[in-house]
Amino acid sequence: MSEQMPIQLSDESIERMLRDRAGGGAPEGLTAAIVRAVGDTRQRRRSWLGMLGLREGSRYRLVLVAGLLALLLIAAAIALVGSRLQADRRVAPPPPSPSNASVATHAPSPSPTPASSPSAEPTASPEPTTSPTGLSGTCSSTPPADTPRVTVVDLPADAYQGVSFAGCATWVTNNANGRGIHKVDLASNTVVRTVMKGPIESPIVALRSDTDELWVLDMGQRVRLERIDPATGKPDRSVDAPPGSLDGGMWILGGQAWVGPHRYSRGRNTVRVVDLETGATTATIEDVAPIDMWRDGSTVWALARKRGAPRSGTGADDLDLVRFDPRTFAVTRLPLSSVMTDQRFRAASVAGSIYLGAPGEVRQISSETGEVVRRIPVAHADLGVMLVSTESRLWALPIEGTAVSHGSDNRSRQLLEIDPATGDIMRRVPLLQRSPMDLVYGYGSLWILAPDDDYLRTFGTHLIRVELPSGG
Amino acid sequence: MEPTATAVSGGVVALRLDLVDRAARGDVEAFEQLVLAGSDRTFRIARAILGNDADARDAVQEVYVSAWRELPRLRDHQRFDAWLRRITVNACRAGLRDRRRVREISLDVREIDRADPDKDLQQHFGDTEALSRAFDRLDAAKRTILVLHYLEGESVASIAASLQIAPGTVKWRLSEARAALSRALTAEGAPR
Repeated sequence: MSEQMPIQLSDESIERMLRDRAGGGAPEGLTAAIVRAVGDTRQRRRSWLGMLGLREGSRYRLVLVAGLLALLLIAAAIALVGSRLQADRRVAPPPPSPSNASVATHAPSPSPTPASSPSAEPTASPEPTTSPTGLSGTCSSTPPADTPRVTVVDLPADAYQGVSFAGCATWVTNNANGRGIHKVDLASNTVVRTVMKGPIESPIVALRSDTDELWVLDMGQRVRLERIDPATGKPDRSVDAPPGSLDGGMWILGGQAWVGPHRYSRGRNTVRVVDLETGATTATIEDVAPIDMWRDGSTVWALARKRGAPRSGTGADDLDLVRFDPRTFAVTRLPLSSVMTDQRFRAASVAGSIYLGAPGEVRQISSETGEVVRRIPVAHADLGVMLVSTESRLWALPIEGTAVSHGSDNRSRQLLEIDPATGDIMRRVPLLQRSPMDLVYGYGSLWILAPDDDYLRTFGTHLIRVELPSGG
Repeated sequence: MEPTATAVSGGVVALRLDLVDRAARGDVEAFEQLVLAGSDRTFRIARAILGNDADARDAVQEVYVSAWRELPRLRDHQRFDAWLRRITVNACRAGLRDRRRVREISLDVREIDRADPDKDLQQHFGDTEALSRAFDRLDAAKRTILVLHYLEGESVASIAASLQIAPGTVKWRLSEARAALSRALTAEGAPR
């Protein structure tokens, strides 16, 4: 391999290139669209911190100071009470008998210490236990008897990035600057709270985990992965994110973060595996550039670009199916024929087979050879098919019409249930929605994130929940 | 001449500050004036970082809607411009991360390109197209700092204020970004 000489750039050439990229200014109509959108948007009220002349970021410092003050007050109160008791003892008569003294000495002992008492053990939690698939439980809601139940969850009008699951709740990242992560209650199908409403300058996104944990990528000055306690909405663990975590993909699989290489890298692509318990990098895997990753049992799979294939962002990705050995992280590549893909069109794994969405069809891929073993035709899918798997079924959502996420068509679509054994379409669930951004499975339901409004006016998005019958 | 220019400049600053104050109190018309005055510049930054009209348009709209919503919480109204720039940068960063494209170029077409990858690039080496493709390989942070410095002509101190980092860090990142652009240009297929 010959060494390449770096190119000497001139200031002028960079300036010229950037002027070309920048164009002449805002296109016609943009300002008017902004003004209309602003007219439809409410301002947030100034917070009490702001009114006190403090920065929004001062909240934690204030809480710390308030906590210290509270501790000081408590200590002072204890000291005061203690000194009064001592004063009382000085004036009180001596105990009448040794036996009474003995009772007084043992009085505190009947209350057991929490650490040693069996009753202090954690009680049965309503939350599901962590499992390899993690999110297959139905939590509190009762599944429908025979036909899927469709509910539309209203989200505050904004821009959304994706859906995650943790602590018997669905979490939707609001992709707008620092807008937070909305918690959707499974019983009421409503947004009940918003957590991680960071300062506007530091976007935070939730990452989908397959272990019923809510992890977020906090993109402040120091990029960190933080686990959020679903009960409190506060971080309870934090590790540094490895390089590449802003522009490469990131997947939380089995308690590990898999961080992909830079999206435009070519040649030396490195995937890093980070132990989320310790924050340590447990593996550095060279020459793999994943587009999608998932876990099937203990094996981690990826759709990855073929060696040396660039990801231009405008061309079809030329893909391999990649299997990682769970112990050694050794890579096995199974070459695929070209797949027209999109970030939304993930792979799905059911009953030992892998399925990929493609224009007009679903392809069943052998997990041994990577060859296409079956093609399942899907109508109205000129752009492709979004796929997701449940325990025993494959669900497909055909995409047609506009390619952009905030689509302009408004036709009825159908969610298709496919029997993986036969490839037959078993059920069609009609949905009215625009070009969907995300289709995922969690807590016995399919969840579809779909914009539903004219993007020039608002960033309105609906979360469509399709509760599946038991065993569906 | 100098005192007059300073006076005019001071008047513009005061007028702008008044607009920000009014907008922060919910005056839509004042905010509209700020949008009219700044949307071209914001769009140019977004367009340069993101590389296409559609994404830049989305980002700019997001920037102003966010700014409108959050403006009451901006404590120091004199820092409105730096604050808006920071929101712009973050919107572009989010836009780069979440860019959802359908890749419709057939494999055959790309195979032909790959058969002689240097040919096309050699043709355009040194011109803006090749450099722009190399720029597309940079991450959001590097793109941002190059745009602020080379397109907007911002000083190191001004970039430091916009990005809330130390001036020394700006210099280092600028140097890194420039080196990365050079490497990316090499990787794009420059002659060896």
